Amino acid sequence: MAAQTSHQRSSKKLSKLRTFADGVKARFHTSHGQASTWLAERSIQVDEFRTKSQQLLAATSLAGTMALQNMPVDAQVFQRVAEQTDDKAHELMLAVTEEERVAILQKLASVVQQAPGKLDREQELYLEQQLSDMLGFTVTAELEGNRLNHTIGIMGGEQHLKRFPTDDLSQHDAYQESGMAAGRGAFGWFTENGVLTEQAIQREKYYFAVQTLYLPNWNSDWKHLKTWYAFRKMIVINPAEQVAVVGVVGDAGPAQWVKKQFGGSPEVIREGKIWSPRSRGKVYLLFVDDPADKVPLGVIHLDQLTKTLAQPEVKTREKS
Amino acid sequence: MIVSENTTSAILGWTHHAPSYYDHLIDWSALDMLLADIHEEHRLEAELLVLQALDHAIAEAVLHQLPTDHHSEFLERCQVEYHNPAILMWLEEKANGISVHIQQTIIVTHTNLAELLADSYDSD
Repeated sequence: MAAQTSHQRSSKKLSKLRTFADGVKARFHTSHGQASTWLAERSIQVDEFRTKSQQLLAATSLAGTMALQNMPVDAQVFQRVAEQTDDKAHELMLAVTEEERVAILQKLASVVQQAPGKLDREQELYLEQQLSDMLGFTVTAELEGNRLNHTIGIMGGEQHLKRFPTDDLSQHDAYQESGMAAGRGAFGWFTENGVLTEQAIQREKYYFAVQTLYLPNWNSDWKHLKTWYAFRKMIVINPAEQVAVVGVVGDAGPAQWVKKQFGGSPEVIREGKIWSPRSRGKVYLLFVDDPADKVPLGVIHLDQLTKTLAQPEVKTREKS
Repeated sequence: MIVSENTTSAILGWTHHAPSYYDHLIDWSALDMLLADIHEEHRLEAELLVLQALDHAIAEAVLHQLPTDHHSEFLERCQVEYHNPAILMWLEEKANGISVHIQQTIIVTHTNLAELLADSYDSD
């Protein structure tokens, strides 16, 4: 009986796979009529590309080729740290001085020059606390037990994403030269119940692509993780330009082999000056702990923000 | 790419299929997990269907990014050397950043497949 159930499930999956593959094929032929005609005139189908070219590989060991083509694996093991920042102590740190601001950004500027990865937990906690104080809201490398493989890395430029199925570039108000990705983002449409709200517009403007597919637990927990990461609020800090951008996770990527660890929307890249000559894509990326959704998306000029916070203390000291 | 104890066997499990120029971008162990409980007699067809879906989705993405005047050359190269990673390098020359789109297409296709196949369980 159990074997029958297993077999039935397998048959059902196979049937779904057939439907799925047929759908992708139909989409290809609909999207690219000229290419479809080109192939038809030569009596070849995309399905046959693999087998036809394989005939030219007679002397090649297929297993060897596949093994070579698979890139070396950079397995990373992360240590969960039980200590959490003491909220009460945290609240006592109301603002940072100008000297502290300079020190934090200098430290971060040095940190982002390191190889992509993460800091040890002690340094990470120090920076989280200092940055949280500076920004006025909590930022953290690990949130609700989740963390990305990198906090330090290179952020590449992404294209605009479709916010709804019929969206096109002309409906995006900035940086149209960046183009638009062919499909939707990995976390679905930005619209809310089919409505293009102001929040949906802001989310697409300020989105990040993060490498969820390379998370150690992605294969086993993808269903939960996909929900958790979808439109999760994060902040990218560009210490070289003293700019930060708050955005949401809107897509998955980039590929590990392109040597970039994060992606940013056209707005994130341009307004965050991510690829300025001083920055060269090197950034620090953290989660924003904002359950009440109080932190707005967009650019934060760290020098202006911290001066606002630090100025009263500086003035007091000048008077004394 | 994620390492698992099954990675090697997963890779070898797919090697009876002819390779493509973008195979090195695929997380084979993740694909293998998608088909983990496919019955042995269905396995080969399932693998072929996954690869067919990927091939079409990626061809669609490539043609979307590649300037139109290079479409014929791309299709010709696919006909004769679909296995050759040099196609990817050529594509990058003609459309900078196209590899990222290919990788994203792989990820989205994988995610769609994962959702589709998970639904098979849910509805049981």
